[in-house]
Amino acid sequence: MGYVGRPIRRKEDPKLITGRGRYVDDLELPGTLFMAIVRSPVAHGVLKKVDYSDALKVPGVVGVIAGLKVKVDNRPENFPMAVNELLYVGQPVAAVVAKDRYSAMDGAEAVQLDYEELQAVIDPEKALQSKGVVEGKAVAYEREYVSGDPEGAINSSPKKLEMKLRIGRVYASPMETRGVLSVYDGNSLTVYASTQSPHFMRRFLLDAFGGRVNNLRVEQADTGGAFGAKLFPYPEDYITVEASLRFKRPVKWIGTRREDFVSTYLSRDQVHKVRFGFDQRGTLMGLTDELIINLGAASHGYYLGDITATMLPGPYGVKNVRVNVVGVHTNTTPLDQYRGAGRPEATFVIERIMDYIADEIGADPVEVRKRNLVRELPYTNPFGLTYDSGNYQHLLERAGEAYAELERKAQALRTQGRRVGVGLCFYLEQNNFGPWESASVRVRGDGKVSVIMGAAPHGQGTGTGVAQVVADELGIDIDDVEVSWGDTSQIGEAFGTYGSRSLTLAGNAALLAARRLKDKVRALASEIMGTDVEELVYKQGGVENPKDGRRMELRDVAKFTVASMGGTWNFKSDPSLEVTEYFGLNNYTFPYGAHVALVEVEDDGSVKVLDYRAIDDVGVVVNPMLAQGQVMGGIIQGYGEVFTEEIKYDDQGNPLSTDFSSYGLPRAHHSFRVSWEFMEEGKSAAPLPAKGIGEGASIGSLNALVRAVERATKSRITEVPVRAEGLVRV
Amino acid sequence: MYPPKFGYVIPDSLDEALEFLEKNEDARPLAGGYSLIPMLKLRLIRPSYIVELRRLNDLHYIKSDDKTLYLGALATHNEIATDQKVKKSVPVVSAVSSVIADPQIRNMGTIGGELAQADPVTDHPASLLVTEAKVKIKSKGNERIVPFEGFQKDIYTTDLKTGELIVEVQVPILKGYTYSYKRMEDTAAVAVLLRKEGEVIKDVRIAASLIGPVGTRLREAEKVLMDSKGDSKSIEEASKKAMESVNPIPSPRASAEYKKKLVGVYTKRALLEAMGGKQ
Amino acid sequence: MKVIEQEQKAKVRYKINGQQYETEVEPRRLLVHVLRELGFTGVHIGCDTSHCGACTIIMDGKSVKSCTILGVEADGSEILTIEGLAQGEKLHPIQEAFWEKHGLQCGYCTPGMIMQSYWLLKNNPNPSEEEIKEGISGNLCRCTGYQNIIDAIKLAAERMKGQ
Repeated sequence: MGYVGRPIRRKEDPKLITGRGRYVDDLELPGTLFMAIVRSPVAHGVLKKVDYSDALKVPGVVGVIAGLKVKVDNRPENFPMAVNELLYVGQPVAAVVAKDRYSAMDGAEAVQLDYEELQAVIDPEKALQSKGVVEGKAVAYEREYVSGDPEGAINSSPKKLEMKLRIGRVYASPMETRGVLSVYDGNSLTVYASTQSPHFMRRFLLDAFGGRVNNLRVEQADTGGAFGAKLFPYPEDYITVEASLRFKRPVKWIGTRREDFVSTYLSRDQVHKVRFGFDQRGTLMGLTDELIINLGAASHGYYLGDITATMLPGPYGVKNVRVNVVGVHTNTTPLDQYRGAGRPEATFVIERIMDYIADEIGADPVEVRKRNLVRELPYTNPFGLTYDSGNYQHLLERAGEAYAELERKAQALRTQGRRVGVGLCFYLEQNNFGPWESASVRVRGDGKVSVIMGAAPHGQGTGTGVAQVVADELGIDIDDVEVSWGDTSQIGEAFGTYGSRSLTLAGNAALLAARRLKDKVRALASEIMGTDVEELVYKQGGVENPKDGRRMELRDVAKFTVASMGGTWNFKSDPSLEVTEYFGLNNYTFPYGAHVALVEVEDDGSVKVLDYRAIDDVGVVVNPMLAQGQVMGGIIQGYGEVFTEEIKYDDQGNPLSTDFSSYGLPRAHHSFRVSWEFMEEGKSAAPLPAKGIGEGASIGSLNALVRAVERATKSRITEVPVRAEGLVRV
Repeated sequence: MYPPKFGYVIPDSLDEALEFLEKNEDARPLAGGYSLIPMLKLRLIRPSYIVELRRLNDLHYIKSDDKTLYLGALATHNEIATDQKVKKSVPVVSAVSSVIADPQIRNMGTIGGELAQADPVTDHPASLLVTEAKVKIKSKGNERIVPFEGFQKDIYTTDLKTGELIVEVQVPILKGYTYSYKRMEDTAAVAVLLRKEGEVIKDVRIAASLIGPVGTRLREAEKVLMDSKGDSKSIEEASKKAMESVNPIPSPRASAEYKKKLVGVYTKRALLEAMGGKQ
Repeated sequence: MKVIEQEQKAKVRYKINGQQYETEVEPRRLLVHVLRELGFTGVHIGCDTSHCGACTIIMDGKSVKSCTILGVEADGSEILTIEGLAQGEKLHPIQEAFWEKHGLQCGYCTPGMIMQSYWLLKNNPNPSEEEIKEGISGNLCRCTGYQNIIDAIKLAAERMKGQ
């Protein structure tokens, strides 16, 4: 049959295109109460009193929660609610539970906060000089990475440069806001959530509530996008569960968009002060980086600094590198991951360096990269990451052809006086985070195959990809494979969907489970058929004996096991036709690729993308249609990050970007055509040698676009977003 | 997302609506709702009553005679954008109507509602300023017609008094003019209306909107071009004057300085296009 | 003149996807919430400022954002939601095209996007790429980058021509 490698249309879609998706706000149980959150109106302050007596008088209000404290790693003492210290605008302070959402909001409005406002610190560099606005600590995290003799290498280089780069703060913007429905029946707790990881959520909720409930199940509702922002513990998760335990009713919280803007963990927000040395031919000799990451009013995003630091050398062979990661506290919404998580930042920095070297020595940017690119794989980078497989040079050659082609186009347009430029980005990505993933393959009594996976996709189409893999392995029709996920009661442990890991890890777990299942089918069939198991082969959805041509379909074996309700089981093989596998790899996977963009900068400062090429090597591509969807979506997100999106605050820490207009989410007329091609040279070490493609495009797009604008405007660009304001020509 | 409590009034006639609005100072009329309801959702306003206008069919029309186009207050942006009479007689109004916000908003949003709301980020002011449109206002037992220029006083502030409603917008039909409208959504826009006799510009009107606080006629820029041939030097100079004569308010995504520059860029673009003869 | 006080509920009637519904609503209740409470949960809410278009429905023949209309204001309207688009098991050509062209990922914007496409193609059966972009400019999608949505609308337009 061969489903793998083909653009199979998605199994996920029929319900979603007919309005039958079940997102968390679509779920309701009898007696469900609605919760509204009262949030801090100031960025920094001493909270003196929460007076909710008036709220309790509002018609429909059932109760109020204030002063809730839960100890959670890397979160401040004032978590999930501010008790005595207000740390950022949007921080939960109280929760009002009411019979419906309108009266919950009426109640929330009636809660009075008594506080004394304090000076807020918003800018990460100023935060370094402050006395500390979150629990008295300015620096929340610090770690130095050193390899070789970076200072020596820079000082002895014939050419040296210094620059400061900045990557702005962004909001993941899934179209569905966060939301939770918590149901407590006096014994068991079931939590329905818009999440990327129901099993992880179950673990962190068990840490907090395990002593108060006998059983805890998390079910992922259909999830309307996440992009990294629906992974880690949020205050509202704890508050909603607490409310359902306290009021013994199902309690639902659905964030409004404005709430989501100020409460969902934001991302990026790094400053890099780099110094580097290189030779006349463009070889990067040494590099130092003072990396400041603005963690906001908590420290849980610290690891993003580590990912950025260890991936800073990128695909290049530079040995002498020092990165000092400093995570600072500010009075802003806490920071965590967004699509790419640390790698877009690392790639932006190293690719800016490559471009500057090219400019400095007057060389072609492709040539400079060629000179620095790692030639032999596997390769261990200065900070101990072992790049696994592929042929970087080959992909760069292909990208070089695209670059030359777009350059020729640009030349022609320049002669018409148009401000056009071409940019290139070569990227290396680290994937496969989270040690392993689980999958269970089960043949049901009717012969259909049900796959339950621990990954928790929410738009990526992993269910279809895994169905392709399992259908191929079992030699059956893909319509006979159903893939489900998201329910902690269906499979023991799992991690979820993040870090471009799902198809590689859950896909391989499903593949191995299907393989073992075939052995079970053979063993059982041999007894049913009265044949030596060694004589039977599994082939095309059944087992057969090549000697006598006898054959038993998978369906028949399954039906045999459930054929009778009485009697005894008289076989040595057990009757189960289900296998669960947990699969992990002992190294990360390292997909890589290149993006090339041709842009035009208009007089009003707006930027039009005239041509865009993306080339990826992500190992085996199971479904090119899905992979391409990831690439196209990621590129427009990258476009948004470079040109339209940014979370801004005023000096007092009031958020200025609280809706899609002030935030600048790309709309249809910003979109442009992307042509995508893929190579399959760099396979992973897994049985299904995929590497992951969910994030590559949000990594590769930044420098391609920035460089193109830089060339079009003959300027130096050191930060994203690139504001139209700076490009206007009157 | 959840509006505060208010009462709801469904009048049987315009007079009933006017009477109710006059007696209830805190009541707000509801036309298309695309300005009012977002404010209610964010609880930025707390009216005592909402007075529904959408069923008042006598405010819902597009008519014209030889000299004037009459837009009933409840004419939607999409109706204005697609109406053949408007396209023919006052194409600049049609063009501006066709780019306001997005299609769904144009399907519900009305010209009366837009003008009465005086949101700084709206398009119509530019086209109504260059056409020198008038606004017909009614209250119980009273009616007045005022020039659109000067009607919007400041952000969310108009000439309307308690109990008054916009009932009609009157747009003069100008023959022999070319027009252009250039904009960046939510940020800046410039409309140009221009009439040449032979090679010479005999009338030119330039107005900016979207930049806040309210739409502005750019007369200093117009003066530069009047009775000129609109050569590139005078277009440059007019654009510079246009830029210098506006005083925009900054928004989270664009500084006042940038908006000024955009007025310059769009004045130039619009003049070039209008000179090129777009009818 | 009819006056509904703020604590009162108004009786409203709608024809939704061909069926009559009658319910009672507070004046302040948004149509999107009323529709969702009647079971039309395919009508989504993605923002609170009328930007995202996830709640797009067809009301009296026009595409509108149901989050920016009061339930009481819509009394007497004829409404089409995503749930009413397919004819039984037979998908509407726009739904088919979204499926074929991978015009959705998480699916959250999809019902609104499809309803807006429906209105767009009703008014302009043969839209250019630019007209499609303009036509869906009031609908946000974070996953797809829009290109596949545009392709889906083009495909649907082609197929609907033959009908």
